[in-house]
Amino acid sequence: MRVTVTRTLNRPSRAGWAVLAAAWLVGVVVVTDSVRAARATDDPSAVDGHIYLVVVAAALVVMLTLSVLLEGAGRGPVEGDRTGPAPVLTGAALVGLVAGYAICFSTIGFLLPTAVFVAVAARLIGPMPWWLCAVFGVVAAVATRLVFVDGAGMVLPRGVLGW
Amino acid sequence: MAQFLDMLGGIAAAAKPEYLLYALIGALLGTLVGVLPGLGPASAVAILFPLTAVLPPTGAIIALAGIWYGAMYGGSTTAILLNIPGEVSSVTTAIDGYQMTRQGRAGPALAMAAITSFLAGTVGVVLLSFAGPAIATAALRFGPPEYLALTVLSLTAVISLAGPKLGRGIVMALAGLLLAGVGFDPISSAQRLVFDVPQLLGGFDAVAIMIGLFGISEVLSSVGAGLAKIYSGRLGRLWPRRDDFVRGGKAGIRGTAVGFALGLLPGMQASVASFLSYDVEKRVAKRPERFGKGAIEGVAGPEAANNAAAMAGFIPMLSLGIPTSATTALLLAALVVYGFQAGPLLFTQHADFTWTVIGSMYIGNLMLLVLNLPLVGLWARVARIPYRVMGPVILVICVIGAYAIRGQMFDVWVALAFGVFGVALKHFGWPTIPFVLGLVLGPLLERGLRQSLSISAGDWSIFVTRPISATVLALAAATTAVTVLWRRRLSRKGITALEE
Repeated sequence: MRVTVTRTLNRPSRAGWAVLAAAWLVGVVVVTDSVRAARATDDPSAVDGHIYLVVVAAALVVMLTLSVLLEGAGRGPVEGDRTGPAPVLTGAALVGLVAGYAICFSTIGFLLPTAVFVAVAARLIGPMPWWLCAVFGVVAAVATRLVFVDGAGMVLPRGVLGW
Repeated sequence: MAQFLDMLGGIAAAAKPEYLLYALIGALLGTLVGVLPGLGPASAVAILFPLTAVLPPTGAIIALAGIWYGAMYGGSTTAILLNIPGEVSSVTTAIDGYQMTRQGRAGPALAMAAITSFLAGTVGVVLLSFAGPAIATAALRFGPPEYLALTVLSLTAVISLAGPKLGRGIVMALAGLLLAGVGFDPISSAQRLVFDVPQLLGGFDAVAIMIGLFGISEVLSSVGAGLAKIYSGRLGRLWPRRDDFVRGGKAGIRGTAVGFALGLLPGMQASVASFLSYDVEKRVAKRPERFGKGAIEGVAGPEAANNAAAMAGFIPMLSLGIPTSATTALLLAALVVYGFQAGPLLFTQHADFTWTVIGSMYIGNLMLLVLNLPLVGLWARVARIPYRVMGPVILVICVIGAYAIRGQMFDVWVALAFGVFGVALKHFGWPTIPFVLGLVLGPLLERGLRQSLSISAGDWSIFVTRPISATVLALAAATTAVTVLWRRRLSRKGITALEE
């Protein structure tokens, strides 16, 4: 059987529109910044550098627009994606948790935020009793500190607690 | 002869106790991460990179190389024992390897995988020892147009092979090139897209981005995953039978040839080599119906192919500074972090370093063979550790790692942002490898383009009037044309490249 393949323009999905909007915004920002910087310099080599970025950004926006219109934003299998995406809420909560951890890690110090982060993340990812999560958090925090700070001599933010 | 002596000198230097220790730690840690489902060599190198930050530069690169081939080995162990390929290149190993396990022949499957991996890795390192310096010497005559042509070839090949949709590969490569342009202009040192953010002056750190793309995003993508049904039978006797050796050995030789040849090409990842090797084994077999039912050639060929391909990838990376995969891109970024510039001069200006690293690969491959077979049971148990335990620990290591590169919280935020970006890319089926190569090759491409046009006073014909540049560009055009025709043919059959 012979299958005829035709290409038609797709109406982008909401994700597609979001991607297109983001790409065009990036394009506008790159062009604006490059034009401003190119006007402010007398160095022709620097101007060439700004032109290069504008060309790359323009190519990106054009190719992305064509890609989304011809192929859609897509949802397809890719290498390594055997198990499927994590539930959206858990994933979003985990991202928030990592962000909170990064803030606390730089302001409070390493041990306490790491213990709390590991305990909460373990509980969030899978069923585990709270007491076990707490023990696991403390053990993981102490172990990573021993390996990275005491063993490998890595310098991490001391924070207000100093440890 | 000189290369042979250099190689021996490298092995002797790598046999120093501290370097042996770094290679051992790297190989073991790499295997540890490699056995975890979904975490392949690129993830292993990205996640474990911070641990090497405190080592001396040579030790750090030895450990990172050990992590790489350790992770490749780890993927095959769980593929055979648990039917869980730790990474994509082990998918073919799982097909017949797991069937052998079900038949009580896990031992010979594991032994044959280890032996052929070792042999292919060793052959790969020998060829690297001779081809690397030769290519580097030839590349000393390369100027900006030739480097631009090589970069274009690398990008077009990666884009062509990145996935079923060509447009997406191009978009991702362009996004990587754009991101690489942030910071100081490589020619004039003018600031570009910095927006008065001091951390952006030096541009985005490629390692932080890869920690996000290959470390954080893998954990975020896997948190909802459950393990497949695990077979918990006996390993059987470890040593393969005579006919296993004969059939597996021949398959290993063929796999090494296929893997090494393909591994030299940009974009031809180890996984592609293992799939093609499996196909070759089926085609040359007298009874192809045995495949999928526990044929040892289906284990030996792909394992040899993916290890040979991985080793071959070192040749363009070390001698030309051109990465061919995400892992070599990461290693290239690591070399920069440790003060080395990969390329032709690496073999002359840093000869001791280069030969010690190559020498450590011989030893590291041997270490994997000797140490890992007795530890098979341990690796199988590691693979069964649930993500609720491993996930948070990996995330902590990623955060520490991103911070440790430059001692900046900014890099942690970059890693987290690219972790989320990586999940989105995976969810919508956009390829990450062209993005990574665009990011790493961006400065090389821009420098090559602008310096060439400066030499030629703006005349673009410089790229086609110099023979090497013209040949490489023609090769890039041919690669793209062949890929487009191949995709069109598949489309007519109603199948996508990925399905094929």
